[in-house]
Amino acid sequence: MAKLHEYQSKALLSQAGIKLPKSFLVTASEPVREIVEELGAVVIKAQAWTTSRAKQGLVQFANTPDDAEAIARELLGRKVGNFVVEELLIEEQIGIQQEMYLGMILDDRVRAPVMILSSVGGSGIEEIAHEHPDRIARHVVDIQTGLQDFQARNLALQAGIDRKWLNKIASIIVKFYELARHYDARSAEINPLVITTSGDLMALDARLTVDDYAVFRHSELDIEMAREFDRPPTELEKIAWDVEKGDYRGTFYFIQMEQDFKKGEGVIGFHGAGGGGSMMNMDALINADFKIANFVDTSGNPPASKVYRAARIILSQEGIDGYYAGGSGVASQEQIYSARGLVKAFMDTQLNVPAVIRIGGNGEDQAIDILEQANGEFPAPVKAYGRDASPEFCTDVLQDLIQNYVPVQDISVEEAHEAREPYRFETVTGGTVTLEHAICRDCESKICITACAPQILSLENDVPVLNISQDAAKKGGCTECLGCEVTCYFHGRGGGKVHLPIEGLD
Amino acid sequence: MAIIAKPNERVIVQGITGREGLLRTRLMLDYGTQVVAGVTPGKGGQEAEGLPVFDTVQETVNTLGQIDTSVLFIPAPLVRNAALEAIDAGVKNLVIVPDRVPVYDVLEIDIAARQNGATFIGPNTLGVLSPEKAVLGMMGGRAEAIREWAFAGSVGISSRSGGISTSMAYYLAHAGIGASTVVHVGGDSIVGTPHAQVMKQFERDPQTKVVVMFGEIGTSQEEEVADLIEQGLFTKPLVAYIGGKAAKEGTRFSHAGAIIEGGRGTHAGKVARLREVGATIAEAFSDIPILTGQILAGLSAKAEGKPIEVDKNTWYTAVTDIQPNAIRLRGHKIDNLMGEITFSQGIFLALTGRLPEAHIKPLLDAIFVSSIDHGTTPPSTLAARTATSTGAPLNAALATGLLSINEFHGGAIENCMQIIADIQQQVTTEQTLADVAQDLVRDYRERKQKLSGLGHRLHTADPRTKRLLDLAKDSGVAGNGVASILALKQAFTDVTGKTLPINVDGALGAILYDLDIPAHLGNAFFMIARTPGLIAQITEEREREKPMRVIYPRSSVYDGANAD
Repeated sequence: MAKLHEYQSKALLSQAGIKLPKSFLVTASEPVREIVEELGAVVIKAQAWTTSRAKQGLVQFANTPDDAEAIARELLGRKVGNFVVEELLIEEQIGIQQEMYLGMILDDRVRAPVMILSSVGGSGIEEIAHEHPDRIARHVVDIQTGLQDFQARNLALQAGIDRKWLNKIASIIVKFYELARHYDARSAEINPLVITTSGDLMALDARLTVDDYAVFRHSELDIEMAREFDRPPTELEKIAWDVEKGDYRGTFYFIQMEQDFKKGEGVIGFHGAGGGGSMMNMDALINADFKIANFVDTSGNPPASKVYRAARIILSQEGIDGYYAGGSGVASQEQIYSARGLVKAFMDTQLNVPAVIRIGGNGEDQAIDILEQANGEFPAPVKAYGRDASPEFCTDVLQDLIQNYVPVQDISVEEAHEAREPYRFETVTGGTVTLEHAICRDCESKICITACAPQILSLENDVPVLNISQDAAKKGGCTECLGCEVTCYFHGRGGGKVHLPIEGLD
Repeated sequence: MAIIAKPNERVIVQGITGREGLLRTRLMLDYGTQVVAGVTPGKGGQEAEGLPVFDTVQETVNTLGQIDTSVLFIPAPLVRNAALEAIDAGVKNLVIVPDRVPVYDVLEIDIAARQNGATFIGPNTLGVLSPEKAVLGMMGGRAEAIREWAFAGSVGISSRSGGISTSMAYYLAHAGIGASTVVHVGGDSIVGTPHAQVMKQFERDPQTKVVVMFGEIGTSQEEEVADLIEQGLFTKPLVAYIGGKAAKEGTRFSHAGAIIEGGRGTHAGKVARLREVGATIAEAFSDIPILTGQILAGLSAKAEGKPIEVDKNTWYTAVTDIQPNAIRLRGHKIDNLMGEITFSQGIFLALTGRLPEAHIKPLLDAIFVSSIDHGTTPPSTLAARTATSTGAPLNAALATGLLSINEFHGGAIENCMQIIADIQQQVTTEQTLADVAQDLVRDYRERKQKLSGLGHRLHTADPRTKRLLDLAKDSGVAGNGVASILALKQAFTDVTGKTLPINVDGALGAILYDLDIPAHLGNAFFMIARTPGLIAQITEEREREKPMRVIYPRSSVYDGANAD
């Protein structure tokens, strides 16, 4: 889920009219002195996606500019799990009368948002909730009518909030729900929500997680990637996200699990299909003492182009010793397109690590043929198996292949020849299909006509041309099935070529 | 019966003119689902896959009448609208295939569905399949593929993983178990028809006798199923597998989840809760077909021999269990046996179901080695060589040899085992082993019958016998059987004054008796042992002799090597 930092969440609260301490965001320690001179005693809070920041020393108090500067210097660049602290929120210290907790979560049992209010709050809220069940109240929100003021007042009374704060708190609860709903938050919380010594209600800390699937509605949030991470995305993850974000045909998920590895360390480029099936295959690899460079899932019947780009991204991780692709074994998606995508990626990059592809499912026999016939087109071997080959078996095969494979030095990828008589059209993801009619004319099989999944090619004067408009092809009429390149290469004369750019990788 | 996907219900496809819509409409039509129309706004009046396309669902209903089910192949951002449209037009069953539908949209669809008495599967689902009846969505991908891996039966399947739902049906089918309906509830955290709702429908479905559930960490779906069982609302046997055991606990970002869930959603929590209410938990994925088969077998036994209607072709075997990625010989994983036990231990296991202990390995090997070959004179050898000489191929020649192993050749082992069994039956406190043996020798002499186990036409001190009996003693196997054959030899001397050696059949019979091998399997040991010898003889015949020769078995001269 797309997580927002404390300062980002607080900016939204502020817009919604919820009071906050005065604060400044810094990315270096230099401005801290001046800020402290303005705010007085401060709290310095590292912006990191983690809970219990106080316990980890990521929230510290400073009363003098010297202290504050030293703390800031110490916190910036600190590693928290996979996350490096790059931003600090410097806030004025607030005198607290009472700490409370306000949260919202989507509960799958009631299939609705649930508001949670606790009249005790602060760090360790989970334990507090456990110890004081009477201080916690819940309310299931009707998403058609939203949260009403009276419901919020009842919630506050149930949680045991002092009546003199009732209306103010109810108003915050309603604002907070509306904010969460507006931004498609899967969960949101203010902890603590405090009554200050000066009699104000204030949010001292806040977090929002936005539904990944709704990020497209909130360009204003400037979320780089709608994916669940415990650290900022890597360059390759951003490249992968660019492939995925606008293409709703099937799913492509990419996460790097290992970085800075070298050849010979047993790190495998992993290409799964489907969540459950991917887990089974990864378990087999891990049990055989391999490490997994990345998690990839291309499923939901992705087009060949998506599988191709996924494979290219996986293969761009230079230290991998092998390539493993596998799903549940009985996939419902059309495996021949996955096979075409893989073969094109292997040929375009001149595959130099052994690959084992467990491609059981729909059309598996054809898919296996497509993969096996590509052996010899690049230095490394490819083995493909169907539904009856277990992940363990496939892992053993990969292990054997890796042990016996000596990577070729100096891979040369052949430059494309200048086309003499090119026929071109564009595809929905910015690709270009080039049919070299000079070659097509002499082709006896004209295999592209039947290999084309959407059947948009017809013969005209003995060469293949679109039977729909260029515009219709670009709008998705061409499904990027890669038949006119891969099938043509092996069964025709090789006149078809599909260029599929990958922004940031090429 | 079956649930959700039913053969006579009228189905439309929203988004029929898209890439997925067209492809899966073909799948559904090919599999027999009654798809009657498609809807794509702006394309009304066209045809797709031979079906009329309408601009709206309401228009479809107005033209064609009541529609039972709508399957949605719509880009995720537009799903909410399309689903609300179908619900508004009175469609009661929706299958929402797309992935990445915003969760608040799902909640809004859910409210509308509840208010209108409709239900929906998904989002992010492969759909629903009732084998041999109907399919909704994209499960299986192609009709011919489904026909390959799924057949109708009595097991309901509910899965949170799409790939696993089809794999599960396939691996069950592989084990001879058919499915009533396969439901992929959808991969998202909030779905229209979670596991518990599926269970309620399976509970009412007479075709479903057992349910297999593939759960995952996260959400409360599996805990809710446990609640149903506890409340007596779901009473059929449940086999559950919970995936994600190895998954690392992610960094929790919000406390609200923990407060609401209070420990639910974890692998351990789900397993414990389901166990508590009596569900069968499969620890390994490959155990699912085994456990399901056992439960079905138990149910059919309970039905007092009446075969379960839907599985009338079911029969049972206890020799080898073949499951995807797991082969078990008499219950032992073959890959564990390989490299661990000898071939003869494996043979013993296959024939008896018992895995012999390591210390009797040498004896078992000796049993087979002892009888590998006995020159050119045994009738089976002669028969095999004669067949070879006529041009018979290896299998025919070998069969000829094996077919010649009968009561009077090789059968001595079985006879001997029978004699030992008879002797042992008569031994009582009053009648000693020696007495019984003597009576038996007298009885055989009176009837002028040959006594199996003693005497040999050639050997007076068969080298095999002593070695076998020594090994039997060393391994502690020698018991009543060996004692009986020794008593018989002594009795023969006592009665007749003559001495006959124990022959190899006698020794083998005695040892096999002591190994608790039933008499009718005695010959099997001989045939298995002799097969390599026969093949050697056949091969030599082919390589060294002319075809169609007259074979004088006793005229052969050994010209091979001497190893010692």
